[in-house]
Amino acid sequence: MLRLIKNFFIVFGNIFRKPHTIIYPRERIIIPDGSRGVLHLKVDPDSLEIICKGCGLCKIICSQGCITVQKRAEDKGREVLDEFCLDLSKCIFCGNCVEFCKMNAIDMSYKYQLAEFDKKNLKLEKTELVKPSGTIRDFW
Amino acid sequence: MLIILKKVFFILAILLVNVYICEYINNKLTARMDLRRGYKISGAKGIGFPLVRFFKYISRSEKTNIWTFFIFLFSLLIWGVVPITANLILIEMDYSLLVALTFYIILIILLFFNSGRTSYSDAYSESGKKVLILLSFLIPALFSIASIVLINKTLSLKEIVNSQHQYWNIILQPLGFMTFFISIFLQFKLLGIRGKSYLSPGANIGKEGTGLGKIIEKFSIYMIVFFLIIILNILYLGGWQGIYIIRGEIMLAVKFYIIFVILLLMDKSLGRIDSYSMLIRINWKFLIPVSLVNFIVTFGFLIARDVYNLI
Repeated sequence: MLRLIKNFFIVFGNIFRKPHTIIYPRERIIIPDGSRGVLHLKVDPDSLEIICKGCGLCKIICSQGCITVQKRAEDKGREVLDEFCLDLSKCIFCGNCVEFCKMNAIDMSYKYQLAEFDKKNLKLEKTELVKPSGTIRDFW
Repeated sequence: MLIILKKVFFILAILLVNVYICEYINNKLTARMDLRRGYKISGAKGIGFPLVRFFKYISRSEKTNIWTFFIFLFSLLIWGVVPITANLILIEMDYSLLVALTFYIILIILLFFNSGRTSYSDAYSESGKKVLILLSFLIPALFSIASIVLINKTLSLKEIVNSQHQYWNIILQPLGFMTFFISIFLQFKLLGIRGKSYLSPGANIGKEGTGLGKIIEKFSIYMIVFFLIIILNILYLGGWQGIYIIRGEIMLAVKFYIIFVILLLMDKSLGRIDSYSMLIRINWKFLIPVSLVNFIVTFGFLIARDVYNLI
């Protein structure tokens, strides 16, 4: 009975409080810190080269099998990333790839508006994943 | 004949406008209680929401069954004997309270037949239990009504209101009011005005009941709630008796909406009912004994005063 009375006043107070929901896209809120958007391949700021060497650990760890990685050997036996493909239609944004990457070469951007008319557009290549445009934390 | 038609038109207009307003308040207030914004796409502040929902259901299916037709009929017939105001009554009779209660019980039984029509074999037994619980809430309400009838010595709703010109019955019968109000609230809860009705047995009833049938079911549930609130007003809160310069009709509307909002708030604060044994316990261990004691005390008081002239 006491709980009912307490709930009654909480519910009554809620009527005069500001609602938590917003009308998207007319109103927007700041993307919460640590939100996981599309994968982003990091670039070394000095040499402007992709940090990822294509070891394939992210591909092994990915439970959805949405990452495809291929590496190639350059002259002097140096291994570089040849192909990195992410299938967004399968990705569940778990962030395991980022956590397990030894080179710390990938992170999750804040890009979240991912709807596409064509399914082919959901397969992102290396060139698209390198672009830093979606990494800025803007309004949701 | 013209006067009767005029009255019918007025009663229907009042009911439809109130259903619209209550559906809007229900949607908006329930959303705000959840800290949501509520339906907003249909015009300014979602004023067109009930209309949008009406057309949404209509577009799905126009099929009805015989039970929904009877439910619709009785939910309107009930207003033939219940006075909304002093003049807005179709059939004036000395035992309008009895007739109204009979119509109400028939309406609940019809709701049971309507909610039980599913493909599940045990649907009738399941919804039957809930309807029996709902009907059992009438027992304390009937005891409370009997006490009021004893005090006012009439079965006419109009005369009950007229006898409250000095002070409302809530002052004479606070216990009766409390039991009647709780019984109304629990009936309100079981009828499920806020979401899916508790009378619906299966999970698929929402799909099976969409369309015109669903609208009629919702309308009849609103009619039941309106009836209960109006009866509460008439029996305990002075009905359409005005206060000072405020007209009685305005007072009735104010009381009606205050009770409706309080019922919505209480409905939300109780949460979802998972165990029906709790409802049965509340009814048989609290409401019925209290209302019975109230009835006995009132009866004893009246016998001591009128028969033996002790008081």
